Amino acid sequence: MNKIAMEDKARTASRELIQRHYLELDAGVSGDRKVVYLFTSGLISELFRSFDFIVTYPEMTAIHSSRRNVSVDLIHDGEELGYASHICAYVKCDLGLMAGPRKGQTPFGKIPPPDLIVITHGGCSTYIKWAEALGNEFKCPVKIIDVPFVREDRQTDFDHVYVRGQIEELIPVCEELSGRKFDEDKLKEILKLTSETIELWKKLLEYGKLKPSPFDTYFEGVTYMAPMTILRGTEEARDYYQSAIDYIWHRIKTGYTPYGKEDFRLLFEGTPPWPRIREFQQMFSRWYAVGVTNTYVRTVCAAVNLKFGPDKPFDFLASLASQSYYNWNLGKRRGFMLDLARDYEVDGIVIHSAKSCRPFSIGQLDMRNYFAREADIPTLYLDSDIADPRYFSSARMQNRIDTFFEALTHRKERRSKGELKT
Amino acid sequence: MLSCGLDIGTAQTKCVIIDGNKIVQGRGIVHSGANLARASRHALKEALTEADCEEYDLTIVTGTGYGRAAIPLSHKSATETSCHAIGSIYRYPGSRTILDMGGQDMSAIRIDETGAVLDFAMNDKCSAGSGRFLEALPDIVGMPFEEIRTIELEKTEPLRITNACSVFAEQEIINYFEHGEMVENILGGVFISLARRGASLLNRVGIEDEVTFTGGVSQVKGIARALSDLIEHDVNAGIDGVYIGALGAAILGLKGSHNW
Ligand code: SF4
Repeated sequence: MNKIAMEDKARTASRELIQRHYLELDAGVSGDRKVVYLFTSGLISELFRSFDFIVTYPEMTAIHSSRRNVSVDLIHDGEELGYASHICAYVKCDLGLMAGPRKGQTPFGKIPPPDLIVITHGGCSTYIKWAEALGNEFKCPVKIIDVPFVREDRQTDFDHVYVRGQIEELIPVCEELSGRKFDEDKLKEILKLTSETIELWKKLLEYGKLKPSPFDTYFEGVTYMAPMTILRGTEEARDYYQSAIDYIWHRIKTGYTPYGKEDFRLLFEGTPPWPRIREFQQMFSRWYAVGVTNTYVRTVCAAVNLKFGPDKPFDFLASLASQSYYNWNLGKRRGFMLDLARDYEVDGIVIHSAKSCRPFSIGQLDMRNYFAREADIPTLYLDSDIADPRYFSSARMQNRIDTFFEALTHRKERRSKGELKT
Repeated sequence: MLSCGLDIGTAQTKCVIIDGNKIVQGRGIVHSGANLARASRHALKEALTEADCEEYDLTIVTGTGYGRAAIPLSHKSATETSCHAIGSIYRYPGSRTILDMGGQDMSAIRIDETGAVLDFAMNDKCSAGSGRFLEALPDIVGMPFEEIRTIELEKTEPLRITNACSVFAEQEIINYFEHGEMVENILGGVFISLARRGASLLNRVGIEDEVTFTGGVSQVKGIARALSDLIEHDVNAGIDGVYIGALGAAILGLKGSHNW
């Protein structure tokens, strides 16, 4: 145990990179460069980077707005445009921002309008409507890559070829808009950076296996995750993860643990309640509970089980587009979580379900029941929202979390007395 | 030794004082209102009077419920889930599944033979179907709570109340009145509608005998009966169900082992 206050260098560096991304957008589009909006699930930013597009992400802007506590105003703007209260809060945040009175102006910079919008549609049909609404607003082309749902354990070869074909069809679209010829070598180079970045990211998250874990892979990991999304396919992203690993090594060597000690090891599932994330984190840290692993940052934009490498660029891109966690069937998600729970030796699972994100939240109650009742892993189900703070009720949230830890404490005591086998 | 449990809920504040043998010496109950510290003092005063003792005779005060952080008097605290579990296993030793229906919250709890919480589920942010609605009911139907509490479900012909939301349910009730329906039959429908919410929460954690019904709502005989019919299990419930959380807190105060 130690209580050394250590500057979180990985956090600072990540924030600087995010800041820089938005400052670059704010500086405006120079020369003949074009802007493409991409969505994070099944992201294939590398293709557009190879054509020198400026790449940005409506979801990341919604997350950033939520973390900066401006999402509720944007959501109100979105609702005034006619989007109902139950619609995805990211959508309302983004459309409120881009189509509402602010016209893309955020406290962290102005978001330029898109010249092209591309979605890799896997798992969330809201993406389609969101992209279409943006396309209507800015009168720009919207391209949809239809990614079949992963019904079995892995994607079928047939589906893989289908996705790859659609990505290849984007080449003439990109050539025409960007005025540049497709350069396969450049794409391979970018994908090589992606592949290296993914390996580093995975390595970083593996440190959660240590006891105690040198960092909270959920509450700290969500900040470390940003370059993976915003900058994947760049040297900056790769270098960031190398230095993050060096920094975490420093923590390991000094015996640092994020909350001074580690009483509980947790597996988190679901996107955090961004606008209240600090408060949410403290509800766990006061019990010295560390998120040693999770599904959200582990899978977002860093597909697991990738089958191909940069030498086969379109197969690699198709694999990235298809292996999104959001696109997995429930059984596969459940199995993945069971493996994580075992490998990271967790004491319990916490599922944070988002009211306005139906596609991803559906089935989480069944998951809870399965883990708690059949797999005998204490599981806490919480619900609020990803971006809408109106759904976050502090007292109720704290109450559920305290109850969970009281039960876990009792369970640990009984186990240490030998009254429980598992 | 005297141990005191204070359960500060959103609707009512309950106090129970027990001796070292867990025998109840005094109880108090008041409306929580906005000033939780004052409510806890009043509930405590009632219980002290009944126990015929003074505040300095208390060895330990344990707080529970939403307002537990607001009690200046308490030495330790725990969530109401843990306290209902401990209180239930003491009051009904065979308890393995508990439904606690309070003012705004409802929880289903599965426990082991020691009263340890194995699993729990709570209603979401909307308090539809909780005690809040029951509080408003006397005004809506024009019948005192004491009378509503003792109505026998079997003697009514329950009407269908489809809405769990208090606001919409109130409209349904008024509609029934306009159609000249009898108040008992309307209430029968309300009991079933509230019990249905509880039953679905119980199913989430899995029902194992014995089932114990606690919290303010559990005092209503018709709801306890409706619950039992819906889940097809006998249900332990009684007029003292409202005190189970405070009782659990008082018992927890006697135990040294938990550092909650
Ligand atoms: S509904 Fe969920 S998965 Fe879809 S865009 Fe919104 S947050 Fe993302």
